[in-house]
Amino acid sequence: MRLSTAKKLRVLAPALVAALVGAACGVGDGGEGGQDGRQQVGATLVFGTSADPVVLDGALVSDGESLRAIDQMFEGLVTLKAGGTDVVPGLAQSWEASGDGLEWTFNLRDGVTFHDGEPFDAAAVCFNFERWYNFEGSFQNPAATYYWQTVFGGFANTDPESGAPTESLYGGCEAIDDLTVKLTLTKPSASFLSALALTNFTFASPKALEQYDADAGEVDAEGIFRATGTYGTEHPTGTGPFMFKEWVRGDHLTMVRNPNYWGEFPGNIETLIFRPIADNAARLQALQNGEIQGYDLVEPQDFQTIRDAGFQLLERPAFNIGYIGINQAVEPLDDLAVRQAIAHAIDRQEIVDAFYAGQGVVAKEFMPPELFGYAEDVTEYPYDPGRARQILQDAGYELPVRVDFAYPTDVSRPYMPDPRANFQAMVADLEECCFEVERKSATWSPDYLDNVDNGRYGLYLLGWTGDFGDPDNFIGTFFQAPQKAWGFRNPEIHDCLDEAEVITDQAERTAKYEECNRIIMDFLPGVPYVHTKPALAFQPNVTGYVPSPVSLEQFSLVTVKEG
Amino acid sequence: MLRYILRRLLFTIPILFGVSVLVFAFVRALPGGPAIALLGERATEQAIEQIERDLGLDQPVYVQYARYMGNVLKGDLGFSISTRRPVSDELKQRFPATVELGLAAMVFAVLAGIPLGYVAAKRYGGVVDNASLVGSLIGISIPVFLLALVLKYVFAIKLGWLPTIGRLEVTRSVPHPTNFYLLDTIIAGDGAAFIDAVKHLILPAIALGTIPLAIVARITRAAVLDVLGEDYVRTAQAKGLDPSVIDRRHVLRNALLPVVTVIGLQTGLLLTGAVLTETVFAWPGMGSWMLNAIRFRDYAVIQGGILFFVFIVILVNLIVDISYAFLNPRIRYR
Repeated sequence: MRLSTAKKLRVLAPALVAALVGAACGVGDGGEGGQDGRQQVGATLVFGTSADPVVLDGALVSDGESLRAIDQMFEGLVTLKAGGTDVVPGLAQSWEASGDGLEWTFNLRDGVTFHDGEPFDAAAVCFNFERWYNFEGSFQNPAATYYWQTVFGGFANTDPESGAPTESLYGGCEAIDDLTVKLTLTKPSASFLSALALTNFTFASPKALEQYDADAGEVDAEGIFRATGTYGTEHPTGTGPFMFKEWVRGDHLTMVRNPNYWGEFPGNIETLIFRPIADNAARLQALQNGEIQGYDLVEPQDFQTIRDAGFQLLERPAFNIGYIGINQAVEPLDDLAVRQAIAHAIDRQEIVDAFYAGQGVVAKEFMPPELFGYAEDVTEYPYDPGRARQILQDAGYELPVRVDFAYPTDVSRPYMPDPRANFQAMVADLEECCFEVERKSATWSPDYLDNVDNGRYGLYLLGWTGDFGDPDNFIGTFFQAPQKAWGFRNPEIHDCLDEAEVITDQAERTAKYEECNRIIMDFLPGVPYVHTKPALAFQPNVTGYVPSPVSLEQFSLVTVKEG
Repeated sequence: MLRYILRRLLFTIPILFGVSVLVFAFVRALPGGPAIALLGERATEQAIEQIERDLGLDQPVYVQYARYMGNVLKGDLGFSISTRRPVSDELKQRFPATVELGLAAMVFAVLAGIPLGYVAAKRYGGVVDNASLVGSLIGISIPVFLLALVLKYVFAIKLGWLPTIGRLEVTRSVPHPTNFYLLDTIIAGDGAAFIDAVKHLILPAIALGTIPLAIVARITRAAVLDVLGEDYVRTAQAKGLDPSVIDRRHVLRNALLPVVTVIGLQTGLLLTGAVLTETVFAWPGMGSWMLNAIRFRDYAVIQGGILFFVFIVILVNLIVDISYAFLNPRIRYR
């Protein structure tokens, strides 16, 4: 993530969160009703997560488990169509932008109330925006307000030492009447509307925020901000289909159906429970034992077991990239010939076939094909060790060429379920062709990431999962500004991405990003090799869960049948 | 005796002080830091600097240490950056979970280990003896996570008798005044919840208690064999004392001394060594919490947790020493 001014307008185009239909399964106390007569009313669904949320306040989180829970209880002005990245109405039924793109007027839904009975209206919208914009002190820390800084940039009083962007996209909020609200921007933004679909910009009850001291706290002698309020831990209050009931850290987070929900609630879950189970094998066993009805982050090696046992395996559309990073500050990686030889020397198809259990597709550029701006006609580097050798020899190298190559241990990422296996296969390919590889490894967090970020490796395995559906979130993140991890400065690439970021015409923007992708793959700053489709598992009696590319998935769509 | 206890308690102060210095230096010597751990792939140089400034990590280490110890002396163990809660709050919830599991594991180890060791010694060289030797060897060497997977597979998934995760059925609502769930369910007068809590304890306790079980059995066996050869046992037999009285009063009681030492040592290890078991059984105790803290470089949690652990281990050892006096009247503390 980059929080520099240049990044603040990260465009979030289509994407972010996808709303999904939900999932999970349930156990339930029975009851009658439902469309097919077998559907339970008042079902309970227990879902296995990988960790506890950090805090249930959308403005202050960026981790997936917090967002997953907040998505069930909170809503924003707009949202995303279930399973996709198209922006659809949320708490605003309609909206229009002024001709200069600086003023956005939203018409809010009538009759929506927060879980505490307070009305959702224009004043509540402005209250929330003003809260975010006026964050101070530790709230300006990127670990707290990553998405605000990514989308809107700075704050009303940005601490000049904070490193947060000094300029803000946010210009103001005005309640025209109860159900009409006007947001003003400081400059036109192509991605503003999609960004509003982010879970981080969902609305909390102003009364609850104040009553439970959402922003109260003090900076202690060590400089750490200590929250003293209970809003984000005991009283999160939104407008969504589920309401907070109880959170026992490390054990469970319980939500119950909102009886006054304004929108459709097609599923039958009355009680929704998230259980943190850090260990993957333990999640699978809990599913097999019926203690949970579904879980996320299924590991590829478990796919067959899950299918054989009659459970459902649901895939999210690919929205990530796994790549071999190349640090050009390390010789001879600054030589294009060497980078091309590396790309030709590695059999990416074989690696994807061998280690991704059918969930991977070979990548040819640094963003997923689902995104606009993906170029079909980039330069490709097919597996051809003979050609790799030839390129090196033509460039005057004596074979084998020495490189260092690192992989992370103790980690499994969606784009890299088994880093060591990938690494070994790649090293074997490189050495068989024309390189001599010095092997390196470190534990993922924080050692490995620290080494990568500080440019201590030559070649390294890494990847990225998209936060929202915009190319800027992929290639902009990687290449818009020089980084130690890549070790190069290429004005052609940096400028192309700068220009693309601010174009408001969608067709023009798409074409620009395609051009950037072509330039990038000619320059070959790294070797992209895989996109994967992360999977969830559910009991057979759970229907209606809609996986989303950006993991915005709604359990209100989920039905648990007796079974 | 009282003076002895007080003196021992006083000794804990320099020990805790020493440990605090070591831990403080150690966690800061780890590569990376909380900023990178928090941000993962999204860490940039700017963001890292900003977070370190916010956390006071840009200050000299001795300044950080002085501030930290100042707070600790006031009973404030710091604030967790990964859960955004005071460490002491979390400790109140996590520590009882670990103690409950550790005690259950120890009860299992003692109730099974002492009789097993005793029987093996009495039948020295026999089938039971050899079987217990082989069994305890397996018990000591089997990896906890493998044992846990197998136990869960057999007793939960195949037989359907027991749950695989957590401390209580999540749909049960029982108030937790003490966070010792067995106690809480009794206080609540909820018999079904108590049984449920016991069921949740069984598999993790067995997984965690297997190593101490094997050790206790072997030490008991060796100690009983020793005592059986003592003159006073022969004397008791010669004067025609009832064999069950000899066993109870002379053999077991004397043999238990080394066993108690081992139990004490093992209890300390159980508390600190429950990391794997807690992770595999999604048990919300100290072990899984500390593991997470190390991953996130959550300095306050690591420091506070280790200090607390050390204190507990010292305390357990003290209790063991005191219990000697009850087991062996010849031992007197001054």
